[in-house]
Amino acid sequence: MNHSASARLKSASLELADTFGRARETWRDSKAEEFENQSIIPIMRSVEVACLAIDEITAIVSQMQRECGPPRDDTA
Amino acid sequence: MSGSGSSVQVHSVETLIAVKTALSKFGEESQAVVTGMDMDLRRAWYWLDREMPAYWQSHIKRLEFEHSEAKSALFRKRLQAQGTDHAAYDTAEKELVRKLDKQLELARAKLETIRRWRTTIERAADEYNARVRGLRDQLEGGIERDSEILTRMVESIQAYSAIGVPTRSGPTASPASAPLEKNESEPES
Repeated sequence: MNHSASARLKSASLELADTFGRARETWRDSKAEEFENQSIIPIMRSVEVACLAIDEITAIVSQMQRECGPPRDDTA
Repeated sequence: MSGSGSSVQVHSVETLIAVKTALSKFGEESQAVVTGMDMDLRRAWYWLDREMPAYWQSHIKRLEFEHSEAKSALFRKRLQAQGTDHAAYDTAEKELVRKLDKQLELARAKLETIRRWRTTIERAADEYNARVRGLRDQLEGGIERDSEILTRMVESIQAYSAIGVPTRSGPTASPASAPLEKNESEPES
């Protein structure tokens, strides 16, 4: 487990946001606004929360592995 | 439909398809991340709940055996040195026993640490799952629904394009396509 999971998720969401941002330059009707509010924004929010959760549990698991596993230079 | 209107329709469709493609790609990538995290967490739990207790118990058994051997060696050394002035010769044996004592203490403490971590990890996993629920919901239907909305918009534009929509201000202009036409036709300065 590593921090690249949240980086990967962030990158995927940024790509979506970029594409949608470009589309919004020409797509400006109420449907676009509705789609942004009901689809894109909730996705971005869920990604933000998920990334924090991933980073936190990744850090917790790393600490667990350090405390519960054998020493790295196990000379015992 | 005018020539420029037709190109606008194509552009509108391309725009929506680009969003749909990006949405689909995001869904696949996110699903891979979430699935990967689920697997990592299952592996981490197995490591904590099964592998490490087995490792430390086995390690403790080995240390107990070595400790017993070291104590016997120390005892033999002391017997040999009895009545002589060679008491200092058992220094190495005493040091080994002391070292193994310390290692045993640490190994036994690891089992207690593991027991405490089980509770911590269970709570952390519950919290993680609660916080990722929103993204899972998106992946388990939200994105598909959004994608269907875009597909319907594309189909709608294509349908109007096929029958020929006379003007963007015409009564049959689709909500999905008309603003795109308007924006394309009247770009902001």
